[in-house]
Amino acid sequence: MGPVAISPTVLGEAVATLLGVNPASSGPEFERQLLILSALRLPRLLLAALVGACLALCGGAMQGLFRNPLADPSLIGVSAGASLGASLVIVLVPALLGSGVIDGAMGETLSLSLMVGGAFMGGSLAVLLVYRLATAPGVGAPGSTSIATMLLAGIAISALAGAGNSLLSFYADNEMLRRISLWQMGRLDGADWPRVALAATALGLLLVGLLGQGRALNALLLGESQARYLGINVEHLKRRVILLTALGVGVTVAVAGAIAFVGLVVPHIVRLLIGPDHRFLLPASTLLGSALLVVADILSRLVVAPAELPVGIVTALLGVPFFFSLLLRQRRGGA
Amino acid sequence: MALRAEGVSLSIHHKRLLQSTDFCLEGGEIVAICGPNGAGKSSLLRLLSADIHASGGRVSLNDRPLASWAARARAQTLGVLSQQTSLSFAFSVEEVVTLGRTPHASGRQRDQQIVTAALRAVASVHLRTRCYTDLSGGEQQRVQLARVLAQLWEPSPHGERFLLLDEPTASLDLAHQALVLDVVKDFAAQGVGVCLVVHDLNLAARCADRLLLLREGDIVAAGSPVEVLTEATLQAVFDVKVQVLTHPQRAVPLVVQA
Repeated sequence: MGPVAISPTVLGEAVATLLGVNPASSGPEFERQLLILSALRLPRLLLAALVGACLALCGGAMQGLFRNPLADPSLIGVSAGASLGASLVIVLVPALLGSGVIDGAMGETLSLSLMVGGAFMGGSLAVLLVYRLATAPGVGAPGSTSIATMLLAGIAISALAGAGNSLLSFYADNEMLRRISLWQMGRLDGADWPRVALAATALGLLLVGLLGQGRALNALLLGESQARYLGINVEHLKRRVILLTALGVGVTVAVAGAIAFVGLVVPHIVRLLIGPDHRFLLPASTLLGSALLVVADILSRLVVAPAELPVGIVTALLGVPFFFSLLLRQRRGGA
Repeated sequence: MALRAEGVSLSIHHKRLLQSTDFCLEGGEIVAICGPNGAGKSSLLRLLSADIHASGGRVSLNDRPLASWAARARAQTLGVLSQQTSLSFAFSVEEVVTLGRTPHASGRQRDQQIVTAALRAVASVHLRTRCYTDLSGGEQQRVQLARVLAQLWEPSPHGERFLLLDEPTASLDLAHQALVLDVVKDFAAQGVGVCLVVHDLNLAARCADRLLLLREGDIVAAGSPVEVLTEATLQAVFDVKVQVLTHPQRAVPLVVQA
């Protein structure tokens, strides 16, 4: 499934070797293939699965929070906010510390965690801003979010973040430029074990923090007041979902860039299959999201092999027609 | 034990919506709030449901300040049906009514029994598997009522139960209006205090023990339907000429426009 063909037999033997139960296979060719598998393909596969899961779970939770099935991290500006945060860190951190001071594995880890921090801050600010705007009193029917305001706020934030990114690109040197452009496309070829560990931690936190909120999110779909009448601590729930989704999107942006539409498409497919109940929607979206991004990543490597497309382009190509059809349906429904 | 407001005032953007209003709802009684548009009816209901906080005065539920109640305990004791509920996700009717069981931990089986009973109470069992977003306005209103009924179906461990309904009959046909009134009376007979905002004075007269007439944030008249629904009062409040007759079958006032 990549530029270097590795046969299923070798794959089986490699898995056995990695598990420490196959001392039989060896030789330089096998060593090389083993290295490709353990250092490149396995982390990449895992990262795709984890990022897909995070994005789909965040998308599902965010659609519940906004009471609107069109909410998606990349459409409402959260990904843009997060990538601006990450770009700021890429440009400012070396400037602050003086380039060359941090390098090697330590520097790599430090800059990665700073980027996560930046992406998280940018993402949470964006969600908070959009939520405030879209649910402000006087917008739409009481207790509902205005889809127009939500999408417009997303455009505004994306534009702001885009301007910020351009400004940073203007001042950035070549190395920084390359890294910034990585964020805007969304790609998985930077996969390594620290990134996998980071994405796994984020997904763990999201699962712990969000899966138990299914019932509360269901009640929230009736509107904030109605959820309050049903005994839900709405402020608490909102804060939790905003922070966790910002964390999830922030981490995925930091490790893989802004991969669009996974958070939109996956919960929709799940809703069509099993209905909108968040108690089942969230776990099912998590699973389907990871499967979808793994498939999209494999596609991105095969379509123009031996070169590869950034996976963000593949998900956008799959997601945009889907988004248009949803928009049309919502308009006809009068929402 | 009651749902009580003492001297509550409410101003939003320097506009006075309610001024030092007293209100008391005992368990088992039905109180109807009537008045022209913008009189403060919904504001009073929202104060009583802890949706907004009063600028002055106190609201208490079963002798404890309403604001000090834990969200879940309050939801087991006080149910509220708003005028509009927006729900754009394709839940089935059964799932929507089951949302009313959110504050309870009574188990799936019991919840299902209660949901069925609540749907039966509003004559909507046949809608059970339908998609909520495909229903007509009146059907949606009945389903939302069933949801609130399911919420208060069983006695609360925290004292008497109260049900607040904002225009529960607004988009219902005659038969279903009568049905809602029967449901309200049934609930009151079980000891639930019911307060409903209605526009139809005759509907209010038919079911309410007490009637409250609001105008521009003031209570203009309060008492039994016979006491409140007089030609002079109604003319002063609504600014239209009316005639008050006696209902030919029930001994309640019947208001007709002159």
